[in-house]
Amino acid sequence: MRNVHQTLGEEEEAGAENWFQRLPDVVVLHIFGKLSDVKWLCRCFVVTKRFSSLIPLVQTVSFVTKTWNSVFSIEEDGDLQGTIFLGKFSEFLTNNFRLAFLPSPRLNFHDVVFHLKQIESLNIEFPSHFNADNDSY
Amino acid sequence: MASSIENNNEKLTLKSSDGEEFLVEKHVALQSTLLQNMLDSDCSSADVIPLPKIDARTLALVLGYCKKHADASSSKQGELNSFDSEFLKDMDMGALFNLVLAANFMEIKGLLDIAAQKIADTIKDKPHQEVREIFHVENDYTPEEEAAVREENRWAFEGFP
Repeated sequence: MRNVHQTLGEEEEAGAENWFQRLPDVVVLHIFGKLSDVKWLCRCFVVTKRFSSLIPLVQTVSFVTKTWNSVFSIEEDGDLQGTIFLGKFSEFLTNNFRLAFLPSPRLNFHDVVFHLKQIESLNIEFPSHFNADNDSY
Repeated sequence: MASSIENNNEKLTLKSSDGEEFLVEKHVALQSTLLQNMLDSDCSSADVIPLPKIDARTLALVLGYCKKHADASSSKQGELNSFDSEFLKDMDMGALFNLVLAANFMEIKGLLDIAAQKIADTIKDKPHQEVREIFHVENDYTPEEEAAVREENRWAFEGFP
């Protein structure tokens, strides 16, 4: 165990080590995928340039809708199938995933899926007091 | 799973980056996809398997996790969940990052998931300045760049300092 202690001592001396520097991109992305709300993910853009370059590659995005108020349209074969409230979702996608969306807050579902090649999983948490009266079908 | 009792009793030796050797039961080692693939190929269990990226302290933790998960029956998921949360509780950041690296290298998905979740939980709810401090991440933005990136993500900072 002597060797172990010696190794640990050396690590402690380098106390200001950037922990994330040691992680390969794939592991950092795995951690980002565990952030349960896209809000935390977006705040990570400001932490460091490396974070900023990796976030668009995240495959799992989660968000809650409770404070959001604009509209996300799901269209299939040109027919409007449904509309859900996702608000800042469009702003988030446009800003951070460099998507060229229409200025309208209504997003075409196929466009989103087409552009977000890296995303494999999208978790949406609706507030329990979700007001269905505001939803149009 | 279908291996014989004889196979289950087989052991193999893992060697850490700092030269310590660990004798591990084969069914425990099989928690690691990396080791599983090595055993499935021509690697003999009599060989010492070097793990040059993993120190003894981390390897001991990893093998503790693997043993618990290998020995537990599938009906004891609740027990495993509480083991998992206890396992990472009070772990210092250095050990946690060593662990996530080891889990990634040895391809132990369950361990990678819980360690990554623990790091993500540390990021949550904290201002970005504090995230930098906790992980010793250097701010490589100029003040102007930082202000611009923050402005782009303004909605995410609502109600935040």
